[in-house]
Amino acid sequence: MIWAEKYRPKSLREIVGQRKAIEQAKSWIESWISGNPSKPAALFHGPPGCGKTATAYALARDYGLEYFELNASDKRNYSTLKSLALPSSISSSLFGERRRLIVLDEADNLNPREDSQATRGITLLLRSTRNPVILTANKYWEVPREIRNHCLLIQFNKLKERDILSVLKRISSSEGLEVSEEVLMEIARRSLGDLRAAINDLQAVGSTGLDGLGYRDREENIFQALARIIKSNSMQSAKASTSGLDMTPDELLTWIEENSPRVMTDLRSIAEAYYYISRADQFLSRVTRRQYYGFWSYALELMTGGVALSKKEIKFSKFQSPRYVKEMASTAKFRRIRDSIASKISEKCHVSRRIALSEYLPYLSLMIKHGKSLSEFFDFTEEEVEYLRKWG
Amino acid sequence: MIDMPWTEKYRPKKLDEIVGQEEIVIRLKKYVSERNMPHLLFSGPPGVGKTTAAICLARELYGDSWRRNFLETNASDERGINVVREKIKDFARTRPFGEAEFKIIFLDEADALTPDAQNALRRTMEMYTTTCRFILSCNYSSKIIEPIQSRTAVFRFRPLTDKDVAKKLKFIAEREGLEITDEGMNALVYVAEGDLRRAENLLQACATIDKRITEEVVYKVTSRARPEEVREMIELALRGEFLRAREKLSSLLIEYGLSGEDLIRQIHREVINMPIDEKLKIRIIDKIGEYEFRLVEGANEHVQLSALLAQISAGFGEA
Repeated sequence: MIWAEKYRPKSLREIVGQRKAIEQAKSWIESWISGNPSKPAALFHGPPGCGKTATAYALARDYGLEYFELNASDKRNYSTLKSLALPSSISSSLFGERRRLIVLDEADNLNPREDSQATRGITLLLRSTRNPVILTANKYWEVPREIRNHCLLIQFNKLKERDILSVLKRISSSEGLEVSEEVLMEIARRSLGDLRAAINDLQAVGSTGLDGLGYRDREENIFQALARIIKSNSMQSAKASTSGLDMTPDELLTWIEENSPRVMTDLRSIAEAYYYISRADQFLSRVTRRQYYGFWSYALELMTGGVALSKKEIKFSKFQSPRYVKEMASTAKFRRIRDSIASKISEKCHVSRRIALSEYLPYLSLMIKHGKSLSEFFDFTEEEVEYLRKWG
Repeated sequence: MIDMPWTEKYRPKKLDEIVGQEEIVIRLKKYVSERNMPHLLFSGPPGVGKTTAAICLARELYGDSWRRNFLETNASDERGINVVREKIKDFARTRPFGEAEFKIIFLDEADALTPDAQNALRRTMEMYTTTCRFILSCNYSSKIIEPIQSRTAVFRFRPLTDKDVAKKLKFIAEREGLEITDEGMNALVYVAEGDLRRAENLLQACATIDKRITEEVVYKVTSRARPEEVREMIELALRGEFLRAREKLSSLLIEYGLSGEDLIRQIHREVINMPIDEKLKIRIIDKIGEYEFRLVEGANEHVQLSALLAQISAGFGEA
């Protein structure tokens, strides 16, 4: 039996690393049970193997609902969808049946032209359903808008290595597998946050060993997409280049920002490209502030088409992952120390943390370099003193 | 005695010790003798004594237990008006401690609040008027909404004169056994720009290098205390070395922990003082303003500042 199936969580308690999403999902389903649903459907979105379908399944079990799963893009489902929406099935609970949880997988694989029937069927279902509906998708902005409008968006995050590791350990001990911690860590690392992939790899390693495993190709994907975006000569082809990508527009923007000035040959093109990048970023921040997802499409068109059409010539240059993001991650500890220093100054000197950083920190650093000990007054830790000594 | 910042060691304990704000001190002392006061709005540039005046007022009203009747909170640090309101609610719920007739809530940097948040604050002020007095402090009273201004007594703190700053620095120098040369004093006062907090921090840093404060010592400290990278970054951009300018930007944001808004203001200051063509200068300032607007609106600081650098690098093309 496939382990990913065998060890599928039976209850929400068994799901790792998605606390916030689960909280949201629970209060949504509870609003249904209390008879006053906040939205007819919830759209679980996030990268593959992070627990979207597993959460839907566990939700059904925990709340005693009948689990009913369909593939959203399957055209043959139209009649099923229609029947799900019809009064006869709505009233089924009158005959003592349990309430159903309808789960439509891969709602982002609907092609507006080819699957217009399915889209219509789903929309119809969402308008009239008497049962809670969950849709899953990797990229929610690729779910047709008329469907999205009926949904509560719930974001699932890529899993952390340590969460994946904990599951791998549990499974290997229950299977009596003799695998070292290092191998498990390597599997977790290679999975890039995809637990299903990690479990599959673990099962494979059990029979063939680590050498048989290949890397998955996410990074390669973004590099290819970037190349296609930059080479495009029309807005539509630039935008279409992102279709295979497994990334939010915010992430994509950081990749485009990092790399477009690297491959453009003249400063005017760079400035023009950055003009559009900056505009796209403004729309992204408006999405966050207003919770209005209609701005996504402007952001995407500006960051792909705007950048593509700004270039004059392209030179060869290796694409790089966004440095700023990498540096932020590698300096997270460093920044935590800095912020803690700012808080201590703020408290003792009656100033905001912003003023603490700009008006105090430079001088305090100098004093410490010249042998003054301010630790007693500010209650600085060793680490913080070390930070101040190195500042500047 | 343990080492501590001189801004704290020499912060006035009594209203009378505050330098350069004589009229304000007289009015505040009247509140102390009457044991009553309206809500107050302190407006004025940084480092002229707004927070000190609020603390001294509390000390004189409440004596040693002033801290129990005084809540200090900062609008720019708290995440949104709701956090501020929760803190205020908690504090205002209990009766004033001891003999006090009212408690004081000091809200620093009130101009960091949006107009909507200020309206919410106004309702909070009204709710607790019987037990609390508010002192709001800001750099620009024009950023405070009319209804709040009309409910407060407005105190305009004036910028400190060079003489005021020098007076306080001399006072400190005597107690710390320092000698400040005339040129040294001129340099201190020049760099401080009327901001006594900066002057005192600067003097203290100088004193760790030498007991004799000369012009040279002062400039040595100031150049080490301000990241050179801001100017270098702009110069790289002006030379068209965009990628290198962008690298500097990352390090300023990450290593120095400057906020996007602080950084863009520093860029502005540097550009103003740069020996470049005046027409170019004015066009750059126009761009800086536009990108500061985007930052204030909530856009990503790294993206927006990079975009600004790209515009400068290209000498402003069509975009």
